[in-house]
Amino acid sequence: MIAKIFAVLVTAAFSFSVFNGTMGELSQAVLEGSQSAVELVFSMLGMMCLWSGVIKVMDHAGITKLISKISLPVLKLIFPDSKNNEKAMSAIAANFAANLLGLGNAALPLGLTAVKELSDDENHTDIMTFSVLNTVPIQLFPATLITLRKAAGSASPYSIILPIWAVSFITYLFAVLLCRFCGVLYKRKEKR
Amino acid sequence: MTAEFFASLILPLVMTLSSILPIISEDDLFSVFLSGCTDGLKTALSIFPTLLLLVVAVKMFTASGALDAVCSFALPFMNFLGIPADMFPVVVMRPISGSGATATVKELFSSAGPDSLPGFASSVLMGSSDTIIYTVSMYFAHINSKKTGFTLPVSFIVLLFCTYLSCLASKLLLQTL
Repeated sequence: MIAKIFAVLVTAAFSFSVFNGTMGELSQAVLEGSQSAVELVFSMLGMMCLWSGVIKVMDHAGITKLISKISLPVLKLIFPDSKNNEKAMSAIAANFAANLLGLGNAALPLGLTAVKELSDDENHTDIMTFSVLNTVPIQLFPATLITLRKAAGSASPYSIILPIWAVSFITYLFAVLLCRFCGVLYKRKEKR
Repeated sequence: MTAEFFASLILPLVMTLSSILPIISEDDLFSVFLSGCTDGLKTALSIFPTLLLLVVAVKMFTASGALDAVCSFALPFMNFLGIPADMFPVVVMRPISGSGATATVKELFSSAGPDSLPGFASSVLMGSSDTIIYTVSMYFAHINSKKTGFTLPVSFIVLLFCTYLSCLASKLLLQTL
């Protein structure tokens, strides 16, 4: 699938460049792209390592287990196939908590741990659900956005918080329901 | 603002907690901490190749003018959903790249203003969604699986739903203000 996305993006870019006469810009984009990928990874690297360390400590101290125990009743409904996979459940709960607190750099390694645990059980539909839900994370305090709004001279930079909570919550619910529905369809198709 | 204070409290609090835990615990939690940091390096290394290819592809896609073509192609559809035209670049960029979407929001803020309908709706959209292509690719590349199944189509439907809802909520809110 990733191979397909890559192929579609690159061939579309090439075709459009032929059509638009932007081949010079395109070849420049290849050079710039590889550079910004390195910059992106390096800019995340410090926080990713720090978070992986923090989370391992929390894990050993039993704190992530506590979070997952609290959220287990809800997680069971969202990930029915993996409800007995304790490690996956606590990674998912911790990933959700990190997203909630706006710690995107912490959420990524936790999410990667979660999918690894889920994939050990071969619960493909739960992996799909988890990935979809990570494209619409619920965040309590959108700090970057508020800074942006302040910088742009907004009269009420904080007024977006309530609508974001409402929209996030409804979207999340919609995503969960849609994933459950598609999960049933997917399993039925696979059985055939 | 108290909300800001609490937000800034999170990181230092987590750091303090994880610095105390190794001291009070009987296990050698400090070396656990260090080995966790090493795991972070390994994770970054495992996602880097996928990230590299995708970043290059997205840059090429944007530079070639293909993205603008997608924008104008989606125009009638977004009009139909009642999404303001100024918001299109944000909506199209949102699933593709986080920094790209932030850049389009910045542009929109300076052209239409952060408190205009498109500015407000974009803020709501940015706060309640994340990139799709990178997120999904990272996860499936990490477990070396090609079975993405319904992940991508459902993610895009959910994003569209989220966009529609953001506009709706912003309209309602701006009317009452």
